[in-house]
Amino acid sequence: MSVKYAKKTVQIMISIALMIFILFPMLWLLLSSFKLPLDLFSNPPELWPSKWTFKYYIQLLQEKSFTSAMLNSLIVSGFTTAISLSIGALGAYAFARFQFPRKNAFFLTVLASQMLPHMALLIPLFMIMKLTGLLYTHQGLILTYISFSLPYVVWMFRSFIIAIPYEIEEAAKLDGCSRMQVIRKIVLPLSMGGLVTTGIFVFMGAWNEFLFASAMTNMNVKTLSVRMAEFIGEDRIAYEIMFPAGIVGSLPVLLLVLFFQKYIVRGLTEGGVK
Amino acid sequence: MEKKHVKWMKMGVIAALLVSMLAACGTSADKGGQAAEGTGKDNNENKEITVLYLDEPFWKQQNEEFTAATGIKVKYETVPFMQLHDKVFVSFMANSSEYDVVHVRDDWATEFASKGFLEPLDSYITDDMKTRLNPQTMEAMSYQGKQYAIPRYVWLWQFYYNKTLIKDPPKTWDELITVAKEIKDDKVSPYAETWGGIVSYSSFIVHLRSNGGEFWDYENNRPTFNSPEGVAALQFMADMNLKHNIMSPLSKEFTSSGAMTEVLTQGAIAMNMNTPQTLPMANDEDKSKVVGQMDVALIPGGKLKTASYGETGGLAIPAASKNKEWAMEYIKFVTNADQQKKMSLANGKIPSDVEVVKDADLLAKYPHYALLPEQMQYPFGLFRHEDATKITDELSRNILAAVLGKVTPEQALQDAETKILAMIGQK
Amino acid sequence: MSKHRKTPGHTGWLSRFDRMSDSAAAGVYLTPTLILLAMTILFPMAYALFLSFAKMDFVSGRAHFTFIGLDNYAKMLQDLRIPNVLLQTFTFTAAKVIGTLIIAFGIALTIFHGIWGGEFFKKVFLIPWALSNVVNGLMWKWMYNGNNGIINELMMRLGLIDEYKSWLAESTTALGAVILADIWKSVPFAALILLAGMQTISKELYDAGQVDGAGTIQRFFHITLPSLKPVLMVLFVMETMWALRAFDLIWVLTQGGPLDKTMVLNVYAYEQAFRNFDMGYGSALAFFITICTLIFTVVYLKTIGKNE
Repeated sequence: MSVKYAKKTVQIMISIALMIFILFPMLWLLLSSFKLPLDLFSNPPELWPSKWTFKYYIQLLQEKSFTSAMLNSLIVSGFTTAISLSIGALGAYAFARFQFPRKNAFFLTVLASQMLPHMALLIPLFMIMKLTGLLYTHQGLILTYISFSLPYVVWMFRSFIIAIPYEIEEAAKLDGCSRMQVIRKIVLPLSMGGLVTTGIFVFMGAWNEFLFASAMTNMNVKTLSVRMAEFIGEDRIAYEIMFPAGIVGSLPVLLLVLFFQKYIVRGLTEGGVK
Repeated sequence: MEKKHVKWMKMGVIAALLVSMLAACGTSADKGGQAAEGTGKDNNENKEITVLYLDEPFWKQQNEEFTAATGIKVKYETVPFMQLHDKVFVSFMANSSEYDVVHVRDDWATEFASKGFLEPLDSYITDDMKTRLNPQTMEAMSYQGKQYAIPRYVWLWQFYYNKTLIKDPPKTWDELITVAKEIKDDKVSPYAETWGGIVSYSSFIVHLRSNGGEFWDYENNRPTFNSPEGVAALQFMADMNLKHNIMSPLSKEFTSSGAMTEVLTQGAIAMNMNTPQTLPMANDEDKSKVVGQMDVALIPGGKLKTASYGETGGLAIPAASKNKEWAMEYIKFVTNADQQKKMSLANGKIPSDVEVVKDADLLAKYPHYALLPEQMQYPFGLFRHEDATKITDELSRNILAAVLGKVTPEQALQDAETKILAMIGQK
Repeated sequence: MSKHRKTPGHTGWLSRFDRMSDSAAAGVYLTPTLILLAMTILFPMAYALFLSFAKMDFVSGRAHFTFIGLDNYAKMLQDLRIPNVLLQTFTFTAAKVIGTLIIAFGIALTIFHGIWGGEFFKKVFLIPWALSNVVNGLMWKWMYNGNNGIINELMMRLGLIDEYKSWLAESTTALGAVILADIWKSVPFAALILLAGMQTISKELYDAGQVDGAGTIQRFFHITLPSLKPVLMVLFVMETMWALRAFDLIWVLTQGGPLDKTMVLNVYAYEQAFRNFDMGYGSALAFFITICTLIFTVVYLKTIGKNE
């Protein structure tokens, strides 16, 4: 009995330790975002702010460079998601359901292109955008993001379609549904979960992307992650603004992820393992 | 069923349109800057130039004043200082004329000029400018005998110390060690320098200069820092850290003078070389714990009485600009004495105009300006070279290794010299 | 191809589309994807290959590209910083992957055995995973700072250190500090996948084990681990690919310093291309990374092949 009790205690302690490891950094960021500069720099650091302040949150939301970065991120991530999903879903369907010559070769190409290191694409895409005048435009950045999100959609969504029994589609065809109707009336509704999951992943990837954005944006199309990294690039880091910015900038994706948590866990495990 | 079908198709068409839109409307965004081209003889209302610099209120206000005075509009683009160089470089890479006026500092002026990016300004320079502007700053903006930018400010290091801990500021570097050892407060590091990242070369240059050494042989395009003076300078830096133990352990973490000021304002550093923002920040009651405690002195010397380090900020015109005349009007306006004074009052940048530095209003606001005329008689300019970034990055890594005791100063400078010579294709 | 009746209203190319063979229909579905991929991947890769054989010069302000053959690749062999960069890349990748897998395995086991807080864990887990690398970097940089970083204070109180350290500026600790920050972010994903893998192991297998008198540890080594091997393999390859890609976090935390101690290949390629503006050399380095990644891709595809 006591052995069992001791075992349980150890297990709970491990759980708590792990929880602290995962949670504490976030908590520290959150607390720091409510601190005044003198608290931020107090040595030794204090866990709780001596005086809570929302001043810098308000200041942040009034800062045009931040709100416009937020809007830019929204535009770029939104369009990237919409375009990759609508085009990629069709491609995924073709790979899931049709037999055609060199299917494997095509699929391998798509898979491989998803795995290319972004650094390899950055330099040529940068030069191409520069030459075509797409550098420093939303369109250029969206096109760039499609390069990695489209193969991802094809790859991920394919596994969701495969999971739908083909018999349902065949039955629909016998009922007179055309090819497009089959997709619209059968495949899309049945794979809604997959579509949402894939969409969130793509949106999140675009929202958090930094490498391409740092090289391919100027003040007109600067996205949030670039704006955020700039805090560290300044001669004097404005910590008191930087932490609220980190919180506010992460909120959209965090809310999305926590709201669709069930879908995502399933998507992660299915998409990840298959 | 049919209608839905059509709707589905429409979605496809829209998606396709979106894609084509991506390709089609991409070029429009870049072209705003050239709108004013070809309307030169019309009235000034159609004139517009594009300027790239920092997102700070004063510069915007200055642009408005310029437009009010001349009628030439300013399209103002901003970027953080740390990214300024890269943004300008990239805009030059495809020979574009996005900007009519760009900000450069000493080493960028050289780098950009050597690649043919900048317009020589010699024909625009007036005698008035030559007499007004500090000769070291004019020199800093030149390359191979030609003037490529007009200096407007200096961001110069001075010596700041906590007068509650130190009565007489050290006059030489050896004195600094003595003074430092007299500080008995455990919570205070006697001295700090910015050794982090790839900026340690800047402190090294000051020590090298006060030893009477030179960093570079500009005539033969060879490094000269690997000299007895250089080795002594680096040995001194390493000794401060390892032997005398007077350095703030955070020195290796400071990648900018701003980061050092932050710790200084918390009272954790007694002495340092720092930029003109030091006193204003140290006296900011919202953020500082050393309000009223910091004072300023000449940077300690050795063979030279003193030496410093600081960038000159100037304005240049890209060779590809299509509005050079108006750009020059802009440059003349913002570098005039009146605007330099306003600039200095607004953000503490040290005017390049020798007389403005002595202005009574400025002296009243910035006590540290009193020492500037003397400090600026001694060397302070940045190292200038076509490949300055690569060279100083390489040197900084070696200097950091030496001050941390990983290699000897001799070895560090020897390695740096070898690599830098290889880099610039010399033997 | 399945036969189907035509609805009367069908006319034009739509009905023709329905009469097409599967291959042709696949062509229609795939065309937009393939066009976009050709635009954004194939063409850029070809251009990158060209850049890696070229040198960018400026002649009176204009960029010129000169073909210099394999010089950029030869430069990699002579570059004195490369051996260290490779070493750091290897250390970073190995430590990150192994660290992630071990911690993730521990967490997955804890949740799997129904220990306290499992459901809550699953929710919380998504936070580090969803956080951007940039915010993650800012956060850890703040916690590591040598002036008043909370990690210093915690370690002081626990008696692990006797003075504050500049974790990211110390040449001995920088890489470890970066790796820990990266592991923090990648552990949740790995743990969730492992957990899903564990949940697919059938109960009967365990029950059978219990009947045979196998203890907890034996069951772990003889049932859990072998059943999870395919999942572990996939995770291993994916984590490795991600580690080879790491850039944002390192860039925010250290930019490759101090003394190149966190300079991995990816950061080095970026530095060459966008700080020194040596586009040719940067491209050659990027190609080298591509080849390394493709090797792992092949391994990965083989693993998938086995799984399905």
